[in-house]
Amino acid sequence: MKKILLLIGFTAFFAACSSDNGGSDSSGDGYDRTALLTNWADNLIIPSFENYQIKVAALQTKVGDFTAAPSETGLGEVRTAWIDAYKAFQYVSQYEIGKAEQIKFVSCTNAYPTNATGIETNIASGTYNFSLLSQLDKQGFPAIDYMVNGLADDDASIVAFYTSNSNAAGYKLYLTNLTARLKTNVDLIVNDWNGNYRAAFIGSNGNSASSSVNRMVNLFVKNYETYVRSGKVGLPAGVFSEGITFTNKVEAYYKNDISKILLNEGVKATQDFFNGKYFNSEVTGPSLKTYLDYLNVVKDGQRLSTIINNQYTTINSTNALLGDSFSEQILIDNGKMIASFDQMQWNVVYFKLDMIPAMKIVIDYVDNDGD
Amino acid sequence: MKFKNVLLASLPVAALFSVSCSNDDNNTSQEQVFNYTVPTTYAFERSGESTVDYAGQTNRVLMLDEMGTEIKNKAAAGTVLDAAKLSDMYNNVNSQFSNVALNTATDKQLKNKTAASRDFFVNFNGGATIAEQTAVRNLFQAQFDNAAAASGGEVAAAGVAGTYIDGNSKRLFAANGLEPQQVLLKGMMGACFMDQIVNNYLSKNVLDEGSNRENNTNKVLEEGKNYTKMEHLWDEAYGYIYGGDDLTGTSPVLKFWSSYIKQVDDDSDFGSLREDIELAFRKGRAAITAGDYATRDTQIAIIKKKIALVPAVRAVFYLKEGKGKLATDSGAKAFHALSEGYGFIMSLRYTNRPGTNSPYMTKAEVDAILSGLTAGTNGLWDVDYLNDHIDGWAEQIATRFGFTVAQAETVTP
Repeated sequence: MKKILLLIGFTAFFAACSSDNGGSDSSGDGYDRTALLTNWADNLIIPSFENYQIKVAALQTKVGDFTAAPSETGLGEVRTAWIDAYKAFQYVSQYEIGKAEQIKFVSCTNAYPTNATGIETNIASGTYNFSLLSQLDKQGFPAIDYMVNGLADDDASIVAFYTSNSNAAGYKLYLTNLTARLKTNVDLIVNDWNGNYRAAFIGSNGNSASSSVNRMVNLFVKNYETYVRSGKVGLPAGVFSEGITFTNKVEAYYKNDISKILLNEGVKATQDFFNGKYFNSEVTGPSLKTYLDYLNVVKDGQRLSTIINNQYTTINSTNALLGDSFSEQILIDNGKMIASFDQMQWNVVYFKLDMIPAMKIVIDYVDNDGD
Repeated sequence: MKFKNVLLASLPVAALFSVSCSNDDNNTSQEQVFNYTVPTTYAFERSGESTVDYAGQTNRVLMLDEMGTEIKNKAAAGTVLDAAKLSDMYNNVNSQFSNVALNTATDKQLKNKTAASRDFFVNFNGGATIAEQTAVRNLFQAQFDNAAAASGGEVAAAGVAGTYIDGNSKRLFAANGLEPQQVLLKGMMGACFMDQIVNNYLSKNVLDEGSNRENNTNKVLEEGKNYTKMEHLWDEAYGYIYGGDDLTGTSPVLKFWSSYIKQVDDDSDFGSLREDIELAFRKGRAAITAGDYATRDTQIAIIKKKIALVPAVRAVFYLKEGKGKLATDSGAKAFHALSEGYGFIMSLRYTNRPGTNSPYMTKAEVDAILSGLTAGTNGLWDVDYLNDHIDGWAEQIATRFGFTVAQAETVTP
């Protein structure tokens, strides 16, 4: 609250003035936040997690087959299942709320670049606890990437790590444990949503900082800004390092030719959430878009929601100019990476400066660039 | 000086209070009583200790100063300049400054604050993008290479980088006649200092970010500091103008914007520009400490408007000075002034017209003049081309910023 309190003694007035950001159950603008949260939970969040759960289970099966009898064919099947699960993950990374928040879901699933040296140390020692903070960069999809794509230059040599290597058992166990960890985490999250959490999530329908809509909007924008815009494009392209680029900081570095696929999925996931589009369906429900339209938010004579969706179209056409390997793209023509970053940044601007204030939501994370 | 806002002190207490409750965002001074003093110098204290801190800005101003000196010294000595050293200084790595304090301030550098303001290069106002940020940083890097290529003593000529003896000075010219040192110094005054002042620290998106306003009103100080976040942000804007000044000696030393504000102010056509800007900074700072945000915002508009005049007036001044020297030494005598003008024209892109969050002159307009300056054969060496075009560019700039070419080209005491 921004009021300047000059006088003392009128405590009744004081209380009346100070309530606008409290823990009220009403958002104050009349928008049906319960319907919004219900759509998010039932048609986007839970189906996305359940889909991800299925893909992780399939990956676990393939890893089980491969470690039981390592072969180049089996390795290929693990890779395919890994890509499928990695793509499915792009649809849930923006939902780090509830159990996912407790277990630091995104950090322990997709911290990259992965720590290859640390992974080797873990395998050699055979003792590691994935729940420790120090182990975040030695697990998740980037660690599996190293295990199935990065151990050697050709498939036969990679398979040899699981067969003839003096510590083949250690490599097999590590790959098994990495996958099991993914499965344990998603099971916890899905069970929580299908247990008590769904009702708690929908019931928190107010406009306090801790209410579900406010939290989700913050998570949505943070995911878009930090994990999609910066992580997949900006950081490797040197946007935050005075032009020094990092070919090794791209997503799925060892596989190297799916960074664009993962970016496209990540962008699509955010656009689908914005539009309230049911997972794996063309149907839409209450959403940030319908919320903005309900509030009649207009910018330069156009609906803000239209501007945002038009910008997504521009983003997709700009990203389409990127090569499959961002490591190569950075070396060949980093300008295209910068152009993608610029187009994605436009929606950060619309989200943070136009959408969030219109919903009277406070951004709970701050860019810290002071000195 | 005593400064008071509209006073409603005589109104009944309850009425006053109900007004202040009626509006949550535009709670302006008209509804509130402020009674604070604007000090005669930029000195503010809390509990007997200064609350003013702009050390980071002082460091960057001095860094740019040393970079200019490095080029100047190599030119004077006729020795080879090391572009990598200038690049290190730009990034503040490898301890290349003679002022050890600058080397020690490893978290301060010019490069990551070049074209890096919130309003332009994060929020993309004024047509800015990260692509532009990258391009302008590369442009400065290119000046290091240009300066190195011109160093070593070869004589500058059309299409040949080298040294030009300009009276008592030796200057390095790139092959197109532009002086890398001036493009760096004046261009960086715009791309870093101006951009940070008007598009970052005087931006409401920065000053009022998060809980800054609430904390400032309630005097919640930054951890381990004697100032609120908002007070400090304001000081940082101030520091980019005045942070390099040294007023302790017999003849005051003014750096960069502070110096050029004075030079414009010395021309009576531009009234009390120097006093106006300085007062606006003091008034705004006092207003922040008092929680008087309406007055703060008025001062922001004054500063943005007045500071924008400085590169515009100087750009026109140098264009016209250069034009007057085109006949001397095959034009080379004009290149220093034209290069100063070039850098100040670059700066126009980073100005901020109050209320628009956009520059007075668009990037496209600025780029058109800049490319025009070097559009002749061998760039500036094509004196006939320049002679035909300079007046038009000067007129264009003067008109946009609301003064006449005659006012800018002659300093009227």
